[in-house]
Parts: sequence; C-alpha cells; structure tokens
Amino acid sequence: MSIFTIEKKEDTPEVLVDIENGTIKFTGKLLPEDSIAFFAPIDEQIKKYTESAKQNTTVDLRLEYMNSSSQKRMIDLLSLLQSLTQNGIKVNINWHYPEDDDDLLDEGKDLMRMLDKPINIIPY
Amino acid sequence: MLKRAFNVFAISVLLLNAAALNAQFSNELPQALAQEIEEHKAKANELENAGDFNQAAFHLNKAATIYWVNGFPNKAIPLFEQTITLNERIGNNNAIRMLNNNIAMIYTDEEDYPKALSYFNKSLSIARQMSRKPDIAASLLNIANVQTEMQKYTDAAKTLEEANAIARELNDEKLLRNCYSLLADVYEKMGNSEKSAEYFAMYTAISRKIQREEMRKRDSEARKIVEDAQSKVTEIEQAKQLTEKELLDKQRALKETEENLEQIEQISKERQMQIDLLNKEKELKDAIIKNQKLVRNVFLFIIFVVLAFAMLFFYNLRIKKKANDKLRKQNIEIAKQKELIELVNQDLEGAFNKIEKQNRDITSSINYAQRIQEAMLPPAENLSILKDSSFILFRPRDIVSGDFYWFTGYGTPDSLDDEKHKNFIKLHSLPKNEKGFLISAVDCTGHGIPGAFMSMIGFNLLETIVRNAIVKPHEILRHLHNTIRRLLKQHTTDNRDGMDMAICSIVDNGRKVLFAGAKNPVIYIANGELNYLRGDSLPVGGIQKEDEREFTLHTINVDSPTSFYIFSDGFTDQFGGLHGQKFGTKRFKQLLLEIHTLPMPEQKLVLEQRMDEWMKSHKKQIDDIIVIGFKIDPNEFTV
Repeated sequence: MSIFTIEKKEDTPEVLVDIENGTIKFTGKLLPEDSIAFFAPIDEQIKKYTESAKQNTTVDLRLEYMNSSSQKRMIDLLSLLQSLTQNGIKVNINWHYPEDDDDLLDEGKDLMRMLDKPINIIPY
Repeated sequence: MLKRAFNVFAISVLLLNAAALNAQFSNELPQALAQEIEEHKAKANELENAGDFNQAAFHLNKAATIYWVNGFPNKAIPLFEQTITLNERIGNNNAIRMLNNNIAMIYTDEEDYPKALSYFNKSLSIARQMSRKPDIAASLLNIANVQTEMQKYTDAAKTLEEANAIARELNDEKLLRNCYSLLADVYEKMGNSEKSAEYFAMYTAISRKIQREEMRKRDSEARKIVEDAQSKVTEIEQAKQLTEKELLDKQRALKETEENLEQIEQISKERQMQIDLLNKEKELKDAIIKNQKLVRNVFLFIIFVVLAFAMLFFYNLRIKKKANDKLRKQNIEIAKQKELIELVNQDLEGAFNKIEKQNRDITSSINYAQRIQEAMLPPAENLSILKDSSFILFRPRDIVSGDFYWFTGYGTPDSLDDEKHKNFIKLHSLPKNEKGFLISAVDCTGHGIPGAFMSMIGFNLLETIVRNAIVKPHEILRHLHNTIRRLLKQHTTDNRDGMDMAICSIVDNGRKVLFAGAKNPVIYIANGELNYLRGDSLPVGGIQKEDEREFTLHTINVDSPTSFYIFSDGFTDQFGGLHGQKFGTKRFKQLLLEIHTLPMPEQKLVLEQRMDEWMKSHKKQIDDIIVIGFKIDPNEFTV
C-alpha cells in the first residue's frame, strides 16, 4: 500500500508515489482532458505523504509534454511538497529533459520561476 | 617293203635336187650344220674307240646324210664308205645294203653311172643274200634305170623282166606299175613299139587300178575319218546328253532339295505359328485369369469400401446422434443465454441510444456555442491597415477553442477621420493624435469547452480594458491578470485558470512595435535576421505568489520591413513527423525564416501544409493552434 501507481496512457504519464522511500515520479506525456480529475488521486497521496514525510524527498519529472492546465496543477503539487522544507525535510525536484529539446528546457525554467524555488534541471 | 624302197628313191631324187639347188648358191656348208657334222664325227670316233660300232655307225651315217642333203654329195660318199666299214664289223648287212644304195644314188645324181651301177649291184647282191624280194626288186629297178641312162637297153630290159617277175610274184601293183612304165620306156627306146605299147597299156591299166584302189582306199579312209568323227560327235553328244541329264538330275535333285527345304520351312513356320498361337492362347488365358483376378480384387475392394463406408456411416450416425443430443441441450442453453443477451443488448442499445442522443445533443450544443464564439471573434475587415499584410492561422482542436485572436485599432477621435479607421476604438483620454493597432494571440488554459469559457472572459476583458484607454501591452496584461484573478476568485479558491498570450501594439505609424508576453514570445524577422523575444515567464491569471504581477514592455524599432509572428504553443507542441516528436520551436523558427519573404497569405498556406504533413503520422491534434503574422514596411506603413 505504500506504493501508489498510475499506468501510462496515451495522454497521461506513468505516476509513482513511493511513500516508504519518499519518491515521486512522473514519466511520459501530461495532457489530460481534465487535469483536476487526473491530479485528484495523486494529490490525495501527496497529502498523505506530507503527513509522514521522509527526511529526503525526491521528485523526478521526465515529461515529454505538459499542457497549461496540468502545469498549474503540477505547480500546486510541487508547492505543497516544497512547504515540507519548513519542517526541515529536504526536497529535491528534478526536471529531466532531452538535451536537444529547448522547449522542454524552457518548460523546466518556467516551472522553476512559477514555483519560485530551485529545481534541478537535468538533461539526458 | 617295195613301196618304202621306191619312196626312198623318190625322196633321194628330190633331196638331190634340193641339194644341187643349195650348192648353186653356196659352196660352203652353213656353220651350224658343219658343227653338227663335226659333233657327229667326234661322237662316232669316240664310240668307235669305245667299241660301240653300231652307235658310231649311226652318228657317221647322220653326218654323211647332212652333207648329202645339203648339196655336198662328194663329201658324203667317204663318210658313207666309213659307215659301211663300221657295219661290216658288226655284220649289219641290211645297213650295208642301204648305204651302198645311197652311194649308188649319189653317183647316179653325179651321172657317174658305172660307179652307180657298181654300188647298186653291191646292194642287189646283199639283198639276194638276204633274200629280201622287195629290196631285190627295188635294186633291180634302180639298176635298170642306170642301164637305161647308159643306153644299155637290152640289159635294162632283162633287169626289168626279172624285177617284173618278182613284182608279179609279190603281186606288188605299184612295183608292177613302175616296171611296166620302165619296160614301156625301154622297149620304146629299143624300137620295140609293140612291146612298149603292150607294157604301156599294162602300165595304164595298173595305174588306173592303183588310182582306183587308192581312191577307194582314200574314200574308205575318209569315210572312216567321218565315221570316226561322227562316232566322236556321237560320243560327245552322248556325253553331253549324259551331262545334261546329270545336270537335269542335279537340278531336279536341287529343286527337290529346295522343295524339301521349303516344305521344311513351311512346316517350321506352321509349327512356329502353332507355338505362337499356343502362346497367344496362353497369354489370353493368363490375361483372362488376371482380369478375373482383377475383377475379383476390385469387387472385394468395393465390398470392403462399401462396408467401411457403411461402418463409418453408422459410426458417424451414432456420434452425430450423440452430438445432436448434446447440441440440442446446448442449443436450449444457448437459446436461454441468447434471450439474456438480447435483454442485455436491449439495455445496451437503450444506453447506446441514450449516449448517442446525449453526444448528439452535446455536439449540437457545442456547435451552437461555436457560433457564439465565432461571432465574438473580430471580423477580418477590422484588420484594416494590416489587411493585405497579415494572416491569421486559427485551427481549434475541438469545435470550440481555447485559443483566440484579438485585434483592434484605437486612437483619439481627432486622429481617426479616415475611412480605414472606422472600426477603431475612439479614446478621448489619450494624448492628442495618439493612435495605434493592437493585436494579440491568446492561449487560454485548457481547450474545448473550458477553453472556450476562458476565451469568452479573456476576449471580453481585453475589449473592456482597451476601452478604458489602457493601450500599453504590458498594462493590458497586468489588468487582465488582476481582473481574471478577481473574477474567478483565484486568491480564495484553487482555481488556477488563466491565459498565456502575446500582445503587440503598432505605434508611431509602424516605426515602433510594442510587445508584452505572458509566457509567450514574439518572433520578428528583419533583414533576414530572426529575433526571438521572450515574454515574461508567468501567465495571465492563476496562482500568484508575488504581491503584484508586473509584465515587461518591449519596444521594437522598425527601421526596415519586418515580419512579426505571435502564436500559441499549439503549433510547436504538435506531435508528429517520423517519430511522433514535437514540431518544436527550433523547426518553427527555421520554417518562418524560410518563408518570411513570401506574401503573408502564402505564408499561411505553407504553415498549414507543413502542419498537415507533420500531423499525418500522429493525426490527433493535441491543442488549439493560433499563429498570427503581420508585416510592416516602415516606409509605407501608416496606422
């Protein structure tokens, strides 16, 4: 029960929330028709996690695409995790992008600006 | 015997004549003959020395004869004399008589009649001693002949009478004839014609008789010859006939043999035919037997097959019956299930119909909504000053769109008196003669119906803001942000909806373009150089962490003809191509650089074509697309 997953679909990524290890992963395309509905169960898990967060929390985002409404939900989600730092918890957010894709690089930078907190932007 | 002696005489005369003839032409004996004589002489000498006087006499006689015959009688006489001597030694009187006779004849030829008479007498005396009457008669005739030559006719007559007596005694007709001839001659010479005539008549008579006899003899000889010949011919013919008969016999035998052979062949043939016939019959029998076997086998096979089929049939029948029983049971169950399925299907169909109806209703509803949205969007004629130097590529993902375009001219009333400004918003509060043209590409959060809702808000607010004389792009964005947050109560709820957008303002008669961007940039290309001017990284609306959201105003100086492009991320984010990748900003920039010199409507066509091609592999459009392009030539352009 400590691992929450959503399978990869055409318009949505594989999602993994590993509460035991403090790991959250998004891998794939993120353009759900209804971003609020898609994020609802994930948000629930994240809220649960924040109640018993691990000392080290890592978020790995490896997204090929993210639509604007999902981006807003993602910012909310990351903001919530970021708030854990107030409790002395270390939160690492990693934005992975293909090194030749400037648009995804920009997306990572935009995300960092909107979040107003540092994000590790890592090419692959 | 008399006859031979007379012949010798006759030959002698002839020979002598021939010899005399030869002697006339040649006094020498030919070399060959001389040699022959010498050889005979040598031989005779040799034999005499050896004591063989008989043979010696023979060779000597030969040599003498050669001389005589070849016309050298004088040389022959001594040799004959020597021969007489040799014969005297062996007592061969007959030879001596003949040799004396020869010598006498030579002397007669030489016309030395006394010597001839002497030698003839010697020969006569020997013949008398030997009592050889024919020889006595011959010698008497020779003597008479010589006596006649010596004209001693009386002696001759006397001699001839003696010879005649002997001839009569011997009944030698030829001798008689010679006697009569000579007597007739002698008596004629003596002048005794009577006697001569008498003897001549006798001579004639006997000559005729001899002639007749000779003729008769010749005839009989001839007849004999003919008879002999005929008998020979007969013999030959007989032989021939015999041969022909033999031939015929042989031919017949051959023919018979051939016939036999033919017969044998015929028999052989018949036998062969019989054998063949028998073989044929046997084959036929075999074939019949075989055929019968085949028929039997086929019959057996057919029976077997029929039985097999029958068994199979009954077996199948049983299985079928079982299967049918099973099937019947199954069918009953299936029928039950079918009823159930039909019931379910009816339900499903009902549901489907319901859904279809709902879908239809929703689609109709959206289609209607789309008309409202379309009505809201500014008409192309409002582009006025940009009419021929701009394009708007607008491609909603669904029927209604979250992207929209917005543009309007504005100005102080005194600056707007032209026909081309008739749709410009008149703003009194602006500084005198200020006018400009605003154009914006807006991408609301989401797409479809939520996007459309947002677009209605955005569009309405933009109009409102500008009519309140807020015309600077960054100020428009700030007001838009604040108003959306207020309208959607985003500071109290978790509503995060807003807009990404780029807005440009053409001012100073196209010498300047002002730009502000909420997450979205502007691309402008002048002198073949592309500039990518980022807007601010924050959107309009949504979460706000800062106290006051400010947007940056960018001023672009337009000194040379410049193409401007503002757009949503729908174009660049579209998946497609060979590997389903994003079109990407980089490729988009490249494309714009390629086509920016084309007339604006053509650029739109190229972009649409390129996007159609790109989407072929992916098909599904992921977001609404808006691209706005406009071109300003500062030397010609006026607002």
